[in-house]
Amino acid sequence: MSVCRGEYILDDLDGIDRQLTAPMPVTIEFYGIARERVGRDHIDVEGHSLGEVMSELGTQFPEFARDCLSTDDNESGVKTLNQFFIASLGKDRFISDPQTPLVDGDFLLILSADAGG
Amino acid sequence: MTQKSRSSIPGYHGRYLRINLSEETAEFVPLSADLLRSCLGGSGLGVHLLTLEGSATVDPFLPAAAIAFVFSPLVGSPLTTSAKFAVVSKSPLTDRINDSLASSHFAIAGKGCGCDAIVLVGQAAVPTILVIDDGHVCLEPAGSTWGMEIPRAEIELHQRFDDNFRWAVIGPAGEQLVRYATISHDRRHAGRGGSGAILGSKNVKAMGVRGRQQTAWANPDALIALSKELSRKSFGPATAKYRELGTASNLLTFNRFHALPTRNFQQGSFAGAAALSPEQLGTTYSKTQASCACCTIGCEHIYGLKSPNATAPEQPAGVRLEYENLFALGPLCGIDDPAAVLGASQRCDALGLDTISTGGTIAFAMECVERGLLAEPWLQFGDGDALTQAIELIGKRDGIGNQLAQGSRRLAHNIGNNTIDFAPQVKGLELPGYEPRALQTMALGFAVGTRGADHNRSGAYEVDFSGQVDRRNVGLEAVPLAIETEDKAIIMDSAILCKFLRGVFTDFFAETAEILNLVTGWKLDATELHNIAQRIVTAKKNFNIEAGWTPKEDTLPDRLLSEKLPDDARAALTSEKLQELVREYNLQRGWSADGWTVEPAAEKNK
Repeated sequence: MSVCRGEYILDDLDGIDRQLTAPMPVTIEFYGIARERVGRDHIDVEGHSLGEVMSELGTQFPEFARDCLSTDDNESGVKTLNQFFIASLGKDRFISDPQTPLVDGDFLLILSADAGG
Repeated sequence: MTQKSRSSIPGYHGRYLRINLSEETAEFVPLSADLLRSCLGGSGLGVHLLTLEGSATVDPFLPAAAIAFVFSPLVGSPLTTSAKFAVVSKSPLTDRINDSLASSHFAIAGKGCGCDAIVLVGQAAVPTILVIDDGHVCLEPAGSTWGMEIPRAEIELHQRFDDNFRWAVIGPAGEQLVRYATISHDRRHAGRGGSGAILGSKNVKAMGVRGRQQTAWANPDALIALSKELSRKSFGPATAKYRELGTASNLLTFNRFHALPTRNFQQGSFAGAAALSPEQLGTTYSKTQASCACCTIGCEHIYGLKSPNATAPEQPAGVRLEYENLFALGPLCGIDDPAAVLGASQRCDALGLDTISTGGTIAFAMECVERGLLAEPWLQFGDGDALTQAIELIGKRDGIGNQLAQGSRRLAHNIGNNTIDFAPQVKGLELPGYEPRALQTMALGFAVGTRGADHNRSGAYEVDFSGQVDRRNVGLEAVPLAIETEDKAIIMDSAILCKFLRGVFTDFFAETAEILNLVTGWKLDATELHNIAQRIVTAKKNFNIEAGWTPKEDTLPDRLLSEKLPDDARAALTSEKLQELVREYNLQRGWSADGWTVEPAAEKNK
């Protein structure tokens, strides 16, 4: 029996790449001043990491970028929360490393670092 | 016209004014520079003065018990938030050391009388208004002010005396010796621990101060420059939360983390929280903002409220809402009606009641009713009218109000049936709005606090919200972090600066040392401030030991150590875990594992 060649060439390899590495939708809840700056209590944003999600928020909401994100540059070029805000991955742990990976279904809580009163 | 102090210690007058109300005498007592450097002022100096008076072994309601109003080297300076003072006494609620901080012009006028503190002992023969006019002391009959609610009394005092007098006033609750009665200073209360009841026991309705004696500053040009910079920072992002939303913005955050004590700590979240949030209140109530004296932050959020009595125009049309009175009179009592919570807050302010202890005691009573252990069927969770009625009864000590006026611990002992297991108190002081099972570093802070369960003497919740610990399963790594927050609070309460300013500091201890040095001319550094904090907390512990403290007090109510939070199964704390943390705390404080500062003879002989 002869072996066929080239019958299964895929034309849209780029499409497959996007599907494999598509950003994950993450739900973000805002509390306190972060909510004031964004003007809503939650939003769905796509991103693979904390940094990507923060950068996307900064792009969408300039006041959030101004008051909640750090103005310091970091190596990866993504944004991070400034010292006055913290992010909680679910309710389980607080995260600050912009490289922290996020997966589909994650939710982040953005709140004041000065949590008490 | 201002006068310069004769003191050679910049920032201080180098003396305190001791008034004996029984003997109707007053004297200035010297304070040495070494002593002042060792304790700074405020809370630190206050515990020293109380110890000097022997107050640890005296019933707080007896004439021999002392109460001290203590200023600081920063009072009268251009520093933002510096118009603060401490009211220090042995608490009639806890029988342990109590220091309440308040902000008002009373601090400036009081220090302007030429003293670093005012200590009262004895008991006036009749209800009295104590007047201190630039060092001259006078006792005036209280007359019709005795029995008045605070807003009316303040108006009366301003009409009767010169407008330059600043007042400390108690309400009916203080007169009735409610064990958690407050002292009002321009409607800001020295709130916790029952200082108002002590003034009431001394027959003092109000204390007025007027004076313009100023202390020198060691480096005035640098101090002014630093003050301007501090003020500039105080307008920035570090204080935005307080300025724009107020502490009430904690409500939804804590609710989300199941850290919002609900129905007497039965749950950690409340379905009605959204209705009480400042985000919602701002859409349905008018709101104004105000600041304390000499403060640039402006954290007071005052919600409009129709006057409950059209014939009493002095009843303020608004009520200041903070997270603590919101939680204590709302979720803790199962109440989601904003009108009820605002109205209850207003009544507490008028009667002179600590809202946290009021809410905690009432919530406890509500659960006792729910369990059939207290025969007051009208007192139900979620009933705003019942909350209001209970507050009125407490203020008059009428009916069940007489028992509620004693606080949850004494009420539990009266009811029996192991109700002490769910009385929301530590050392007798009702817990503030932080669920310990969900914030376990804070749990440690509550258990070891010398004043009892207190979020202002321990900022350990900051650790729980930092990512440095697993807030629902902390280990010993949390202990030094908790101590750091406690030390910071001690210095802020003794220096004195507002805790809402803490976010503007990059290195709090070093920067505070710099501030103090510019005022006093000392050469303090961060290390010395840490040492001072350690000395002050040990002094408070020694006071408590002398007053009868034993290691078993450093714990939490049994409910919080044996029940998981039903709405967050991971939030669970055990007695063994807590005691492990407490032991480590004691050791890192340099005390015995059980918390003795000096090993008692009975322990040594075991």
